[in-house]
Amino acid sequence: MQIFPKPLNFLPLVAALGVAAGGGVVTFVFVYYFSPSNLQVGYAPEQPVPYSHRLHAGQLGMDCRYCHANVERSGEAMVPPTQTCMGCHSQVRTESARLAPVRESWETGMPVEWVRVHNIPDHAYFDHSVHLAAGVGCVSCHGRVDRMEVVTVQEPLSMGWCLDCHRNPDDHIRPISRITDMAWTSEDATEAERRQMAGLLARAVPPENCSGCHR
Amino acid sequence: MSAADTLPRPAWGAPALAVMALAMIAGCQGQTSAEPPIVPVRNMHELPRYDAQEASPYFADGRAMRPPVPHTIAREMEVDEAIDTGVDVEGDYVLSIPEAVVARAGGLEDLTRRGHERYDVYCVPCHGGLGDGNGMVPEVSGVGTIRPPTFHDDRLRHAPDGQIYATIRNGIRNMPAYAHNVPVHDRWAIVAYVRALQVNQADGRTAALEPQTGAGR
Ligand code: HEC
Ligand code: HEC
Ligand code: HEC
Ligand code: HEC
Ligand code: HEC
Ligand code: HEC
Repeated sequence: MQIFPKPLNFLPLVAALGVAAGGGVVTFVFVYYFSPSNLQVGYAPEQPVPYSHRLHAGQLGMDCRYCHANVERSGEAMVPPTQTCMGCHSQVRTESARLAPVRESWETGMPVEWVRVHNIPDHAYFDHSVHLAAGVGCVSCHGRVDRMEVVTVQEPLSMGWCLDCHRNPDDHIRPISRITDMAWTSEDATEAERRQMAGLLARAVPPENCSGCHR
Repeated sequence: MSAADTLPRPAWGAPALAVMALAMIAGCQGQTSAEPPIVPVRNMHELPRYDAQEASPYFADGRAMRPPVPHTIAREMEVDEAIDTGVDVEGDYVLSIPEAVVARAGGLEDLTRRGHERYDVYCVPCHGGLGDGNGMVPEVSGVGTIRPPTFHDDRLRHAPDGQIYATIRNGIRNMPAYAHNVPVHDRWAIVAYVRALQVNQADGRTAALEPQTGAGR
């Protein structure tokens, strides 16, 4: 007598396939959604002032260092103080409601509470000035900021990402005079610039040992 | 009797749909979101220390970074007053860029090159690449707001170097001060470049600059 119907012979096969597919889905979900490329990339917090890099850095053509003035001199790029904005906005768009928090900050001396966008953990050490002096441009790590209405994280900012470049910085080195130039590509390099790039590349020693970044 | 009739038909469609629906809700990698990134392992992610520009509840203004105490000077601050302010002890504008500044830059040519770079960062938005006052800001913001003058009229062509320096340091009427983001050395470098622009753009009126003394205070 047969207790189980014959088609149940397929059960082990179906179960195995199911487990494999389920495992595949779980693995996929982890690798795809739980990676820094998903968790970090795309973070664009709402800021207290609808400040637009596309207008200021793109349309007005302002250099990044006009506002992020410390970026070549210190580890931190720093968000500019209210004074920098008021240099222009004490005369330009003085009535604009969108600029009200900036004017208020100017009058009261309290800072504008900008929300931090890019943030690596405190146990890792990062320094802007070293990278800029080595000829790595803003665009390599922050993307086309001059086209962003709202600053959005473009790169995973993970350890793997840092190391990818440290092991192979060739494509990211540009002449020092081009570090803030968002549109520049190595095809635009002149002969003198190519020589400068080769020199920079020969001198660069990006750390790959743990203590280089976890100090 | 075939297998298909005894067993409920394996509903492949439903799980497949569920996965697709989930994927659609979860979206593609790196979609824009205003939510803070999820950090699965937070060990030592936030150390008990303040980073630059972090907020602190301990101070009334909420800043962890403290503004300098009045009447103190930073270690790297320029101590020579003529170099720092562009005005000498008699109260007159320094006539030409101090020797010490040129020497530190390794010559006037290097100073001017540095000045070119910095001019492009800090002055071009308003004064324009040629120093004729036709930058993007006056163009976009319309008449009656920010109207920088051209550097190529006789008044500015004959102004002492110290006056141009003091303009950068302190601002003037509608022009903001740049003391907080341009260090002393770079301000003199920009002066050197403004001078080079003035010579370069001279249209045969007077090729040579004749800086004249003027009261700085
Ligand atoms: C007019 C001043 C100004 C200029 C010019 C400017 N920025 Fe900014 N930048 C800001 C302000 C204000 C913020 C903070 C608000 C925000 O995040 O949008 C900021 C934020 C940023 C951030 C995110 C900071 C964080 O919290 O992680 C990056 C990255 C950045 N800027 C890069 C650039 C680059 C690259 C350029 C040159 C193409 C540039 N900026 C030019 C004012 C400026
Ligand atoms: C070099 C001059 C300059 C500086 C410095 C500057 N801006 Fe502007 N800003 C402008 C101009 C020009 C406009 C465009 C005005 C127009 O479209 O008529 C503008 C427009 C804006 C607007 C849009 C106003 C509206 O009503 O639509 C905001 C917001 C703004 N700026 C914020 C900032 C902040 C915040 C800072 C400081 C980090 C800053 N700006 C620094 C020149 C400047
Ligand atoms: C090698 C990659 C790299 C380059 C090049 C780079 N950045 Fe950053 N930037 C980062 C990382 C990583 C952070 C987060 C740092 C942290 O959390 O300590 C950051 C943070 C910032 C911040 C906000 C936090 C801070 O440090 O004050 C600003 C503003 C900024 N960058 C602007 C710039 C500008 C402007 C340039 C070009 C002149 C630039 N960055 C070039 C990787 C880079
Ligand atoms: C696009 C390329 C690139 C990326 C991305 C990058 N780096 Fe670097 N980094 C360099 C180069 C090139 C140098 C070599 C500088 C030199 O030797 O002068 C360097 C040097 C360093 C140094 C040595 C600084 C010193 O004081 O000697 C540290 C630390 C560092 N990087 C940390 C990081 C961290 C942390 C990240 C990721 C958040 C990162 N870098 C991402 C290119 C990169
Ligand atoms: C180029 C710089 C760099 C080097 C070299 C480096 N790290 Fe990292 N590491 C980072 C950054 C940046 C992070 C933070 C990544 C993130 O937030 O996803 C990190 C994160 C980590 C973490 C994860 C901590 C946590 O709580 O998630 C560990 C563990 C770690 N690193 C160990 C090491 C070891 C071991 C080495 C040497 C083999 C090393 N690192 C070399 C930059 C570096
Ligand atoms: C925000 C726009 C703006 C920027 C940026 C700017 N200026 Fe000006 N500048 C002005 C305006 C407006 C005036 C006219 C002031 C007035 O007469 O009201 C002016 C006037 C001047 C004058 C003439 C002063 C006099 O005696 O009449 C000089 C010299 C000058 N600027 C140099 C510079 C230099 C050098 C830089 C770069 C560090 C610079 N400016 C950046 C707007 C600007």
